[in-house]
Amino acid sequence: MSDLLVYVETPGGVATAASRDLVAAARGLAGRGAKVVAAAIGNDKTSVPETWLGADEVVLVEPPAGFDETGDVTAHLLSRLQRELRAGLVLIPNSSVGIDLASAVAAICGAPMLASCVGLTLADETVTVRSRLYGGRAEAIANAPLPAVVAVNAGALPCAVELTAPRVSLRAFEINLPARIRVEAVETDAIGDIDIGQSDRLVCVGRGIGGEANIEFARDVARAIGGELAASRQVTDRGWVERSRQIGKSGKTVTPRLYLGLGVSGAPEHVEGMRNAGLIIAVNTDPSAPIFDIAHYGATCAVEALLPSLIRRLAESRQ
Amino acid sequence: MKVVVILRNAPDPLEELPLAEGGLDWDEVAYALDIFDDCALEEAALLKEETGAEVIALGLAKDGVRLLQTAIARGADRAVRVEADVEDGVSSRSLAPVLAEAMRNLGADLVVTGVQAPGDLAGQLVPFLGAELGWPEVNGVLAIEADGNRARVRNDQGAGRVVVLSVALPAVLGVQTSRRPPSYVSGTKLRKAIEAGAISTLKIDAVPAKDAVEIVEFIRPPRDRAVERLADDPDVAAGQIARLLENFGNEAQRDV
Amino acid sequence: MIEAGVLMVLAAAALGAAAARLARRFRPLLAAQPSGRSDRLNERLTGALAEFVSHRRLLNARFAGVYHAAIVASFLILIATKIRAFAEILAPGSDALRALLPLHDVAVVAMLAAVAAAVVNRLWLSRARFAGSNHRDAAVILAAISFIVLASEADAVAHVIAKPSDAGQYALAAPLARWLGAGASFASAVKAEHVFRWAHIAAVLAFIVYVPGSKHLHAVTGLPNLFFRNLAPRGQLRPRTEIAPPANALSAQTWKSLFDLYSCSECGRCQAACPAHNSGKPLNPKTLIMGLRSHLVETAYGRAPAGMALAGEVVAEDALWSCTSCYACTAVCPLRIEHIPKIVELRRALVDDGRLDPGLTAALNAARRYGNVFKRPAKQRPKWADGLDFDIPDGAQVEVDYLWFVGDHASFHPAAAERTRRFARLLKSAGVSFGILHADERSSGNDIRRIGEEDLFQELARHNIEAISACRFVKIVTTDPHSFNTLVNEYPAFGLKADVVHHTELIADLIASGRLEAPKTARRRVTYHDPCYLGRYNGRFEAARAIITRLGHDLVEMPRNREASFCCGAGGGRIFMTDPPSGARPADLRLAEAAQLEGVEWFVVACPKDYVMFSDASKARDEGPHIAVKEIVDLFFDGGDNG
Repeated sequence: MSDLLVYVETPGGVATAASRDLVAAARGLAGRGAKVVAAAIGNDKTSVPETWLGADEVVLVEPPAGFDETGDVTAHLLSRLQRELRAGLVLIPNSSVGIDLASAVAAICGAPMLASCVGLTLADETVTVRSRLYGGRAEAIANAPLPAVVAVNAGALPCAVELTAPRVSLRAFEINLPARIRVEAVETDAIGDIDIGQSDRLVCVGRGIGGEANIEFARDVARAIGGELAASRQVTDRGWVERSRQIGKSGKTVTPRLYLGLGVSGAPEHVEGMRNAGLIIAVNTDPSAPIFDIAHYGATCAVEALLPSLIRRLAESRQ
Repeated sequence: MKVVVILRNAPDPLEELPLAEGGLDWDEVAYALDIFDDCALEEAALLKEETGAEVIALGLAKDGVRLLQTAIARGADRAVRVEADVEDGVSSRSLAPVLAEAMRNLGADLVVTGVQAPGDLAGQLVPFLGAELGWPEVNGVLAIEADGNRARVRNDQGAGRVVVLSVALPAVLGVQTSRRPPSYVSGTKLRKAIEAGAISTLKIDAVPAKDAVEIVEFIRPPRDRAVERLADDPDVAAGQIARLLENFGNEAQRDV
Repeated sequence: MIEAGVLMVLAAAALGAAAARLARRFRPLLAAQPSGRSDRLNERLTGALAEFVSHRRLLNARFAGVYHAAIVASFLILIATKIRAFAEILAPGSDALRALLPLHDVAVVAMLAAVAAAVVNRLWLSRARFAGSNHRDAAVILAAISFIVLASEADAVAHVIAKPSDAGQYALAAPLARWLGAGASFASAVKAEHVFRWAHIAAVLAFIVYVPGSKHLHAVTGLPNLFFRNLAPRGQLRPRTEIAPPANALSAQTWKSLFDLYSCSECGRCQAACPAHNSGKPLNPKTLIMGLRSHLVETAYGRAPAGMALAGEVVAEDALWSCTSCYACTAVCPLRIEHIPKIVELRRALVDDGRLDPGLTAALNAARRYGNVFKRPAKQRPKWADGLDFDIPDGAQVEVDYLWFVGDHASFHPAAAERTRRFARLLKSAGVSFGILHADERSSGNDIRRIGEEDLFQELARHNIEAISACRFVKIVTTDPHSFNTLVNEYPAFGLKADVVHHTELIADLIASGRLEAPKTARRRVTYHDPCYLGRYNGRFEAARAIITRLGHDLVEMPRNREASFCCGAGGGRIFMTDPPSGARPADLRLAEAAQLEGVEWFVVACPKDYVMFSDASKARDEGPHIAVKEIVDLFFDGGDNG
């Protein structure tokens, strides 16, 4: 069985939870026979790579001098590593950055690539992947010959039980690439002061919220239950809610004990950010919305019709 | 500056998804312009307003002319229908060589399209197109500014992190959202666009890449659990939810 | 003789100047669109005169109506005296129109009293509706009228002093003459008479020159504007004319629409009636007309380019989008100015430009793609009927008595759909043969036309007419006043030939004929809200009232009822728009109005959008007595203590 290469995303020098879970999952796939190498763009300032359990080795690659860390560079460095290690499977988190990185790596390596993975079986020559497509309304089971690149949904694969700490090494790479993409600024205000991951009750608004005015109502509900407002990508893209409150593949992964979704359709990109919530209540006018596949309780009435009633009742019961 | 917008149809997210062996039942699928391609078109229109760039809308012949006519009504200077040996359900990756030849043929400086398509099993178009062309690519773009040589984009990197990148042209950009919502095209405007014509055909010899990915099964996803349905009436449902919220914290109430 | 000559010259100069100013102002009307208002001349004439003489709309504001009538009557009498004054100079001693002399003083007193009343009204009693009017212009007019009238009276006083034998003609001038003219000589009296007469004439001539640039022009344009009023059904908009760009300019309006602008007296009745204005939205129908008028004048004098875009530049976009198309402005205007077609025409330009609220874009895209504004695939349209325990026939397959055009909100909005189901149950229990169009029905397009998407409206209309034509039925029924309006008033132009009734009319008939039994319910005190598109637009007021009283309830009228009903705020596409409210919404204001009625328990509506808007507003009310919102059909189901 060939070795596995796992890419660890380290925004701001800290590994994402999804990446660390992926390393642990890779260990489960590799079993005893194969090696798991976790790679990240980083250096000695990267936060505690020793804690990325499940990898045999962690390779921290410092971007070459004069190069910003951009998708361009990362893809080339990762594919070079894959070639070096002759890794049969490259696992990358199916995040905003990861999905594109996976495609770019697959293109450079000339390897097949599979996205939105929710299940994976590894054989000697092939990998079989289950993927959620079309907004979660269809599932494809596909085979690809190794070496292959797979982008895995957060927390989708089971982690191995026995995990050991890796050996960490720093590498420098020379790269023969014109610097075509430069980082001009990192927008810190987008990160914001709110960390919805800290709240155990979230009221999440989706596209079906029915308008910016109703978001105030949603905020009222959040306040009434001592929770925070969160939003799906469609809502933050519209600028109705700060990006720091976004749940999903391109947002945050959260595990609140209570999640109330208002007008959230439950597309996989969103669901992967909240599927492990404790109690999930969803309101959406479409009875076939995928959110109802994971919700505990669901209502199909219009959100605008429900919100004023809900607020009133919550206010009454607080008295 | 020549901006080419690649527009593709995708199954309408609101309509039923008809499944068949190994894929979708393409004859029964209800199509709509992909929502991200729609945003890409709006960003291209904004670029034209701000810089006077030439905007060319490009679509595959199998997707019909309506989306190209809509693009012209939305401000594209002209549209191109690509005739190539492409089947329904072709993956974005396989499509990349065909579209790359079209871009070279048109002399594009900047290629914009949607960040992803809903059926992208084998990866998204923008990285593969960038690789085919050998051009820099950024996927997940929230806003585009450009002059003749470089584009400045806001790139959503997830978890609230947005990075401003300067990209050398020619380049490929995948748009996730536009700075203003896609403009409305009135019936009159569409009619005028249809009358104006301005759609040319481009025959491409390149063939779609062979994909080593083989779909074995294509199904509706199994439900993890059955959801408990609340009342249809919004008042009653509000009461039920309020009770659930109030009782929350009492572990015994939860049914995980 | 010299005097006559001077008078002729001055009069000619004044009239010439006034005519020149008028001609200049009316020039742009020559480049405007035809209005098709040269039909039914007899009806136009008699109606205009009747409306003018009766002062019907003016008297809706009782105090103002009375003093305005006094002004008009006095004016007409005093005109006669002006003519007499002219004649005295041109042909001294001719003593023309002597018979009217005794009325002169009556008219003077009446006029001065009316001017005083006008000042009190403007500054105090009705000051709200005059906010935004040109107060300087009003002051000049009132001052000029007062001066003219006082000069005329002074002339009369001097005349009586000079010729005491005429004292009998002047009820006021005579005592004044006795009081003031005690020591005056004949010569000075004649001189004084001369001076006042000339002052009077000069003032009149000056005022004549002033009028074309003033709101007082309505005195000239008013009757013609009534003559050229709209005789077509209120709820019928015109399709757009295919004209060369710019569609957004004055020349895209009809000449009558521009003539309207010169007929505005800035009275503010429209402003007072407008639900948008009253809920803090940027639209003020009065200042809309005034603004357009200013622009028209600027254009006439070459100070503004003729092709200048109106929507967005002369009129703010958000003002245009604030309109609910409720027709209150037009219904209340004493000069029959038509605000809504102007707004719709400008909206058409905005729609073409893609300058729309995103909620509106979504609604229009949904209507175009799915045939309904709720973004639901057409197949799902009849799903509301799944909650019934019987099937509803497809009108295209089965011949029925009533083809029921359901409408978007009644089909898709969960709260409204429950009323739809109840209506179906009522029809079934009354043994009525009815069918629906199932998935073939599309949005009626009434609101889409008022949003300004004319193409899409026509596409929907044609589709619906084709679907309806495939059916065999006696009448069409609908619970939705918006659909009702367009089916009755606008679809015939696209080929529909059918009788259409509103469900309140059908239910009233069924009760009257005994086919539907009035349920035994507790007697309640209720009020009824007239839907804009059923009541004000189409004059249907009584059927719903008959039902309410027939069911044994105590109907208390809303303060603003029937034609004066106050809009819920949903029409004109407003229900789709996402701009945040500024202040209390129209529905909130209306419920507050209902709450002032003693002991009213139910607020009864007859429109799906009213039901949705008022239900939401009722839930949002956190103070005052709770008023339950009921649709007419609810009266047959709710009534016990759970009602």
